[in-house]
Amino acid sequence: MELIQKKIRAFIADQFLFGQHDESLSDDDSLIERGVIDSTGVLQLIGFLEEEFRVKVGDDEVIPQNLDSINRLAEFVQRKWELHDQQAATEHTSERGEEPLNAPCSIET
Amino acid sequence: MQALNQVFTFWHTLPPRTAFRGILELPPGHSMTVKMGSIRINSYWQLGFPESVASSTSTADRDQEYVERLGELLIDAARIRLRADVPVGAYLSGGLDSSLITAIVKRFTNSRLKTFSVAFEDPEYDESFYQRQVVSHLDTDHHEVRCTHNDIGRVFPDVIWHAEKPLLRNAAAPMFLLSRLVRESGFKVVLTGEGADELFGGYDIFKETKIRSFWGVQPDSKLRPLLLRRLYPYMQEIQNQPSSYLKMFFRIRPDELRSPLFSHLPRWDMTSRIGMFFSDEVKAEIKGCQPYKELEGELPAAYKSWDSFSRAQYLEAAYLLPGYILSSQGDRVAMAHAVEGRFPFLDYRVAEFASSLPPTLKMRGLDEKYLLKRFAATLLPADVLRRPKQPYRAPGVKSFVDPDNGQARFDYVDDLLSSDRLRQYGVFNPHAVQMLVSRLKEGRATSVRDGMAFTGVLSTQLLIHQFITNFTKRTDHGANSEENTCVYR
Repeated sequence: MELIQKKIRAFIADQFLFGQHDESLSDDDSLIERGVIDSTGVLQLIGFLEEEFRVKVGDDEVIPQNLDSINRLAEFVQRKWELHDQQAATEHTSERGEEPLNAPCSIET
Repeated sequence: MQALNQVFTFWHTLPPRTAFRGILELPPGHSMTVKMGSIRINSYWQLGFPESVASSTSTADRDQEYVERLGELLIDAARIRLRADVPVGAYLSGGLDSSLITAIVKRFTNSRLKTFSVAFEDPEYDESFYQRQVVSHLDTDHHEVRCTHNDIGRVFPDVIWHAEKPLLRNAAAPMFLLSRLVRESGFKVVLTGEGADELFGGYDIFKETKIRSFWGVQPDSKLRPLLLRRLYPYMQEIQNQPSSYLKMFFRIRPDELRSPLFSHLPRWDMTSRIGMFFSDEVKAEIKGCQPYKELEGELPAAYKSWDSFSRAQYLEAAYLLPGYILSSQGDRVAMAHAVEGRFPFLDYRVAEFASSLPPTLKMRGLDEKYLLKRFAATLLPADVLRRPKQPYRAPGVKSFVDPDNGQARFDYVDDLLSSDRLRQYGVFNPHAVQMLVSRLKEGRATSVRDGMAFTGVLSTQLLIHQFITNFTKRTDHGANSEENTCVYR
């Protein structure tokens, strides 16, 4: 979880704060209310999640409750992985555990 | 630094402040008397609106009376602005307002009317199709300046020289090229359609305010926010936005709904974020600045009694119009070539008539400039009235950098945005600006905010370069800047 948070924090600093470190931005702060991301930012954020963490973000998951703070983003990724693991366990019980944690997944929502 | 912070929030400084310390400007509608060493500043006119009324019913008869009254006022406002010992031309954007003024002028001039337009090579911004429609209907002697990206970037240093403040958009540059064309065509006076959108309710920000207020009544509604997509059909950023996010971007929290600046919060919040590019020193200096409070402190006492539509109109007409539209994008670049703009819609009688109208006669539902269009229908063909409204916009960052080859189009861009120069002038964070510039060169940063940040940084650097560090080298003060020494070309 910490690693996920760290990667998200680094992406936000690089992509939206142009390499600057905003000490006042906490992991629970709303990225929109703090003006960190603008209207194209949401789509960039989704692209980053899909590429970096190999999760697929469904249209109905694009809501502030899932994506609007560093912690929410990290928890969202974590949930997606857990869901993927559960599904994999159901479908291929014998193969469970052989896949790396960030293996490409095809979760459709 | 407070001035810079204001520009990077409102697009202009709040008068009497200017970009330069120790130099003040008169607020709009004010006069100054200097007598025996004493200075008196006096307000001679102020825009105002009637108190908000619960419901403003309009009847067909009364609407028709309003249409006739508007016609009389506007025709007279245009007529008296034709008084001149030189021929008077007209700017023609292809939209309703300038077309209407041109149509009125046609009625009162015996000589063949000359009209002038900006056209763009970049089809995304070009409106020449609509301009030709109007020209063919009104049969004017038409001239256009067709701007390429290079044309815009090339004159931008001159534009900043004349605007004397940082700019967040480069839309003033084509207007600079247009006034040059007017001057070269032997004209010194032009009528334009400025002011109609502010006074008669034409801008999308008024629709946005209406929708946001409507949504604010039922913040959990899923259908109300969908109306926001009807706004800004030309902005993909908004169209692609998930609905759940529109709510957050368009600021309808209870405290925001109560704010006297409600209508303009999304715009100003978005703009002020580009302050992230300021250097640490500048950030420290402006830390306690509260530009919203500064503006709120200036609002007239009656402001609170106006409806939300009128308040939005006031903020647009009392601030952006004089501070940016009529100044940086209007008078400054027109006067760069000694061209005088005249504005029939800003005749005080027209302005007072417009502000006395009930909001429903300005925008009926989401139909903008309702009353003005009713009058325009008597003079203009239906296809001009029906065309989708498009605000005047110019190609942005592509005028300075070419993403196709990843290079800046001009040496001055690379020079002023180099780490050394940014460090030397001290206003911006070199590392952050460099990241922005390389992304723009690669075509990877495309948001409106990134474009405004780039233009804001570049224009501020140009301002410092031309007025502070290299002031003595910049010697031209006249119309023929082409021939004179410029610091940057």
